[in-house]
Amino acid sequence: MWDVVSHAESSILDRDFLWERETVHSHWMPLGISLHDAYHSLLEAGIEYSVLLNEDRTVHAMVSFRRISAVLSARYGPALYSHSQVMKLEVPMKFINFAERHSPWEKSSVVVPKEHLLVIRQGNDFLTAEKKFRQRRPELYFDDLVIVDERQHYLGLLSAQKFTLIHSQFTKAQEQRLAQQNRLLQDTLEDLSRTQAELVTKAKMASLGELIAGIAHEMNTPLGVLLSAQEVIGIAQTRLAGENDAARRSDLQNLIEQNKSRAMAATGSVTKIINSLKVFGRNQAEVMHPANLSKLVDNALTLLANQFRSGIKVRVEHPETVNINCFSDQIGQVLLNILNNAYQAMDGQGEIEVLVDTEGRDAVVTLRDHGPGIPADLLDRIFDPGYTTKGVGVGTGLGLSISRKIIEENHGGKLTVRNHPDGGAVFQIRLPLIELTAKTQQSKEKITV
Amino acid sequence: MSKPVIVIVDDEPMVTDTLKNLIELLMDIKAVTYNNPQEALSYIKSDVADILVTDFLMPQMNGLQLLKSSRDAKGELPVIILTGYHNSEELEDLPERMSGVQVMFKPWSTQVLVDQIKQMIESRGVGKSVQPA
Repeated sequence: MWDVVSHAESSILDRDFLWERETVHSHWMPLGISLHDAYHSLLEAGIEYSVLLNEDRTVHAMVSFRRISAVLSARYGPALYSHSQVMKLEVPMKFINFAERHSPWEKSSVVVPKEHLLVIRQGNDFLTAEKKFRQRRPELYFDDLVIVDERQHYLGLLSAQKFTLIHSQFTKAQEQRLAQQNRLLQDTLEDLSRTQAELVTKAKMASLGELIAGIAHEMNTPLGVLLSAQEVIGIAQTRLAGENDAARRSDLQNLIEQNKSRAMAATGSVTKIINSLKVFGRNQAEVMHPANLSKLVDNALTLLANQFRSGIKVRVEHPETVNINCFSDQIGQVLLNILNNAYQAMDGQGEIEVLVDTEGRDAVVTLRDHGPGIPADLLDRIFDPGYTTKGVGVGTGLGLSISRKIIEENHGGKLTVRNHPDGGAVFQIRLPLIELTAKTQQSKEKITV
Repeated sequence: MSKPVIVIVDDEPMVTDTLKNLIELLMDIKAVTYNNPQEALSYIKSDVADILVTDFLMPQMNGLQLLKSSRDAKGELPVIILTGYHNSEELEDLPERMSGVQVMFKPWSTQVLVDQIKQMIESRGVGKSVQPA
């Protein structure tokens, strides 16, 4: 498809030049060579001129690379740029200077119409080449891509067509690789979220188990009292029916009254525990609701009262109401978790201080235990998932990481820990106070736990 | 012959009072109650005690410690540990490890508790296995 240099086109050959320059000229081409092959032959040799030989190897004409480029450009590409024009245009990297090595008589560069040239350095990876190719001006037309070495010396040509083919193959392979990596990532992600869900469930189950054990423990005593008191009342009533002695009747009646009030007190204890538990029944709430933080603290302490009774002294100070917007079940869970940790850190013996207060626009709960505190080098890690100081099987090590997530991510608050200078760990929960606007003031009566 | 004496110890007065009423109504026994295990121990060391019913988790001293100290003073004193704490390792298999000791759980069954007390008094502390209520 390429034109052949013929006599008819000998106008493009610079006959005179040949005789003017009788210098050593090693490059020659056979007459009949296609313009395209001539172009490439000269480009590869890195010289401006070649001798065109007849079949009998006599000189036919002198071929100028510049002229061949010009004709090719005129026919197949946009405008032609002469050497001087290129220089004037100050277009960077649009010609390759390998004249020094290959054209001893001419210091100037080999001129290639810029439209026909994309320079790719040897060692450029395919992505870089592809990027250069993609970033070419859209009106530019490339026949070839020229590969050069680091000194910008010509190394080879790659046709744009071939490049496009490689490019599409490369892109395809790249896409396949990406898709595969994506699948792998997807799998890993699924694994991770499954594991995370399992861990969270495990932690929830563990804290739920602890909570249930605590509540069961808490209710056992009043229930036992309730059952026995009823029994006493029943027996006393039966005996009262058959008793004639006034003094004994009076004793039995007293016994009945005493046990009635005990049964009432026991029922009251059970009711209090059940009320404290109601907060956990709200865990389906989709939006936060106003709650009294002081009440939430009291609730948590009620649920732990029996567990604490054997050796934990709790000092609580709080204003009557500290209103926050929250998911009260989650805050309850955090309080129980921190209090339970304090209990375990002190081996069930010692003092816990719980202070609720306000600071600026924050509600602050400070919980201090009098245990051994947290080793300084572990203070940063204590909220990490899986971190636990408890023995195997005692804790999941997720309680505090979930607590921090609840306070910071779900409530926009802050959960911190430090060691008290006089010993023990101090956990602090900060939560935004409810902005008491006119509207919330009005609905204040509706604020419940 | 004087009535047998049962010492009931629980830090919750509601429990000791109800148990005292119940036991004295159903059995010919004198019930002495304490809400502080230290005070109970002083009594046991110095006075008549035929059987001890004690809570497990209490401030100052747990039921097991009270049991051991009481036995230092009263030999094979029969003991029932009445606890709401269902998962204590210390109490696990205790009746197998110590003779004359039973562990019962709150909320208690009146019938089981009363039968156990009667049995312990009759056999002078040689307790037989009783399943928790």
